[in-house]
Amino acid sequence: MYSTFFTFIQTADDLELMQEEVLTLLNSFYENKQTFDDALKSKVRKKTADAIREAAERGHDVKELLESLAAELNKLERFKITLAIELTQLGIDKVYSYIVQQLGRRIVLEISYDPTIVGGAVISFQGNYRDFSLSRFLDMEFEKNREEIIRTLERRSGVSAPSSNQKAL
Amino acid sequence: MKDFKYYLDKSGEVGYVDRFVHSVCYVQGLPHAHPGEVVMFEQGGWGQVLSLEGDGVEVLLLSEDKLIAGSQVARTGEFAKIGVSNALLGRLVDPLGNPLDNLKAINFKEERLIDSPPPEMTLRREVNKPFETGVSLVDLIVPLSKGQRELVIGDRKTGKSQFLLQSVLSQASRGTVCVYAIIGQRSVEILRIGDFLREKGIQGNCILVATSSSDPAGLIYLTPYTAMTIAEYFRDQGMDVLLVLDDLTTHARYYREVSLLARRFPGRNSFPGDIFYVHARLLERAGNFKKGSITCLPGAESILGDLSGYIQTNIMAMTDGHIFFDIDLYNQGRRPAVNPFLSVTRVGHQTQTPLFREASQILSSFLVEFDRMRQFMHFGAEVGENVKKTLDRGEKLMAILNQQGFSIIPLPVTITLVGMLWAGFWNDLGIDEVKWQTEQIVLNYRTNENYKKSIESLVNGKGTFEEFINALRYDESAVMQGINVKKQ
Repeated sequence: MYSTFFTFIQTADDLELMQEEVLTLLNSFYENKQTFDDALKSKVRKKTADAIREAAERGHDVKELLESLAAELNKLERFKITLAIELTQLGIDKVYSYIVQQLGRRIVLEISYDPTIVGGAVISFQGNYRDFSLSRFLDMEFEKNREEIIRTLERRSGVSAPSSNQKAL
Repeated sequence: MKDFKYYLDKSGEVGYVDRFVHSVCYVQGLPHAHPGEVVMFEQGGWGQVLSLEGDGVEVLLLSEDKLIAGSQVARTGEFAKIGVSNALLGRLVDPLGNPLDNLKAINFKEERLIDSPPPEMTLRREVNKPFETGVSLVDLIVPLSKGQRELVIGDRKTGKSQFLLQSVLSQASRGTVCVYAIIGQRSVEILRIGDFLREKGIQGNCILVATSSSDPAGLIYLTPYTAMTIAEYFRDQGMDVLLVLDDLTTHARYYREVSLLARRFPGRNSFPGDIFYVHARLLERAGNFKKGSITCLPGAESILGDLSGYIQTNIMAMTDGHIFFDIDLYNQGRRPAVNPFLSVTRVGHQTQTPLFREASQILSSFLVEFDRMRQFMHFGAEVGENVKKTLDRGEKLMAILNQQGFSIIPLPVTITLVGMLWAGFWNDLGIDEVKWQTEQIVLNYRTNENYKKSIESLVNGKGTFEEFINALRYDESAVMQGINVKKQ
């Protein structure tokens, strides 16, 4: 029943917009039928209004539908992802469909942008946290092979390696 | 110190602050957190998991950092621990081991769990050494032993803290390690106690674990546990440790605050149902052990002299006796205002020498008689010679036992003074003269090594009080040489 509505939601921003629309429509019920119709025409997106009209034509009680939709929207789980670049809509579509395919359930993407991670992604879902960023990979590499990396860099720049005494200082 | 990112990567779990109510915070996420585990906040603060609920956890805040809803939380995978080492001696720290005295950082030798289970029976042994507080009335009538847990109870401003500091002074000056836990008191009180230890030159044997009333309730709650952990560290080195918990009624109040905020079901006086367990588990960690001892003096505040309060009776049930500071006696000018009839020591007498045990019994029955006669005198009755003698002796005994300020009187001097009174040395003297001579004897004992030896030789080896009095009468000059100059 709600699948049409869920196709409009990919990110946390989409979810908030949808929740706002549902709330606006629900509030308009407290006045009169005319107010609801006006709200449907002017206060929500066309695709949302069309989906509601379609459901009404199929015989659903609109108020009941909106109330249960609001409850379902609250249940949507958030998948937080931090990226080093700002995604285009195409990028969001790709990431979203990949994740939904992998998880096999509806989620909401909460995308944040942090250039310090350099590349890759940091994700958290259902309390689990994984850092697949390039910066972490580089940190780990540097920790593991610190001496070798310094030596290589010094060879390339032509600077001699500091003695152990100098290091201690 | 590891950073937030380290714990996040290590545990692979993250939580988000959902909401917080004073010192309790609700976090969504952290699916595998367990109760008691320490968590770290993105802003750098710490918390401890109180309970697990649904898809989140309830966290007790241990730091003052300003939280923001939505900020990240990481598991540390560890229970609350504190670093311990001998370098703690002379320092003032908070319950997480952070120095509060603006001195250099402390180098810790090892880490210990703040909340550990009490040692088992096989590691313990019977109390067998006396514990000297330096307060004559207590040392004679309510004697304590090393490893004993004795509740110090009384109304506000009846001299409890003064007695506790006298005990610390007496013990620290003979090398005992003293751990003083100041639980949720005013900052000025923390400074006052710190200054006292410095002025008396005993700071090097003392450790202050302090939280002020402005600290988070969670941190205040941990104060006695940290103090006990530090005491255990020194005990494990075979040392005798004095642990003062000032005081457990305040601790109970903060625990109640935390429990009510965490929506625990309130019991009597709104305290949570596990308040007895919380205190009993703490006090059971003290005692006399095969290796070292922890003598614990928890304080408790009574209201209008009522000893039957919930927390007060709970702690009485966990300790080996209590010393009651009576507001009426305090108002009458008695110092210390210890009520000998309502004070109890369950194990103290068993470590006394026969001389002190007998003196204690004689004094206790004499005080009962003296009190009865004083009440009788209120009727304005004419009294006989014997009653007059008893009253006179009683007044002089009170003068001897009255200790102003933070003075401490060594045990051999105390028994000598009582012996002199019983031997009739002061029969013809007024109370002022007795007081003056008492001061002279205490002063000489402290400053004159020979005099100290002669007093100790008089006391040592005497089996009965009668024998001791006879020895005093026989060798009067041994004690009277301490009174050099007549009072003008």
